[in-house]
This record gives sequence, structure tokens and C-alpha cells, in this order.
Amino acid sequence: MAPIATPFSADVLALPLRGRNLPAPTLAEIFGKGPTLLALLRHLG
Amino acid sequence: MAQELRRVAHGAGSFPAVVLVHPASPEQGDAHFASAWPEVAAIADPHLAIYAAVGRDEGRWWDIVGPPAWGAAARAVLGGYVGGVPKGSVKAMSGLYLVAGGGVVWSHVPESSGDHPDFSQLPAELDRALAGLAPRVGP
Repeated sequence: MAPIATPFSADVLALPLRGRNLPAPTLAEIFGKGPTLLALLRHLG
Repeated sequence: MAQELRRVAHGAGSFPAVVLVHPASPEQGDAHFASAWPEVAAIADPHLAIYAAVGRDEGRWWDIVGPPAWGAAARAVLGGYVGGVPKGSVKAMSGLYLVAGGGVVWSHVPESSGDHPDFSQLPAELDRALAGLAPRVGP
């Protein structure tokens, strides 16, 4: 899998994720599946 | 922002996979998105590790509750979006990052909590960003 150049470090890309409906267990694997719009939310609701 | 993204993603002919990141616990996220957007992928990041990776973990109070945020709050209420009590860190700041081809090919990094992209133009903007990655054919 090609490395993600920026801005995510290898550590963050490899973090085990927790959450809902996750398509893969790490960001690296999620990004490897195809174009992804990562949306950081300020809060829920 | 999640409600607007959901509306745009559902209405667009093509749209990249959406993965939300929120600063609340996995349990709080599950409870919220079970009704708000049941099929969306949502990462719980209560320690703000992903936010910190892109410098979005240290929102200033002025950015979060100051005048730049008032307009967005008014638009949200007028649009029928009434927020509840925030869950998770109040220092998390929003941001949109389109990741493709090994890097970030488009982003919207708000100056304040009231600064949102033009969601009506978002599908076209993302299409253009992704088209720039496509191999060119011909001379």
C-alpha cells in the first residue's frame, strides 16, 4: 500500500480505530480503499 | 456539518466515501449516528489524535463561541438544525480532507467554527480535485 504523504504520520495512519460502520481498522487501510472525504466534526449534534 | 454532508452526499451523482471523525466516545457516537446518519462511517476520536495530526485539536474560545460562529449558528437554526449539548472535547475544530492517490488533494480548513464550505458546490469541487489525479490520455 502506498504511503499517505501528508499530513498524517505513520503513527496516526496505523492507530486502531473505534467507531461505527468502519470500512477498515486503520486510516491507512481506509485511505487505501479509494478516495475518502474525511470530515472532522467539532461535536456531535 | 454532518447533516449538510449527508444531504449533499445523497443528492450528488458521485461522491467519495465519507468518513466522519468526532470527538465523543464510541458509545456516544453510536447513539447519535444510529438516528442521525445510520449508514455513515464514524470514527470516535475522544483523545483528538486525528485532530492533532492536522492541527485541529486546539480551537480557541473566540473561534468556537465568538462572533464568527454566530452566523453559522443562526443559519443552522433557520435551516432546522438544532444542536444539543456538545459531546466530547470542546476544543476540537472541524475540517474536511479529501484523501486520494496517496495524499490530501483537497481540503477545507475553517478559520472559525462559523466558516463552512459552500456545500452546494462541494460535489463539483471534489470531482475537479479527483479529476486532477486521473491519468491523462493523448498528447
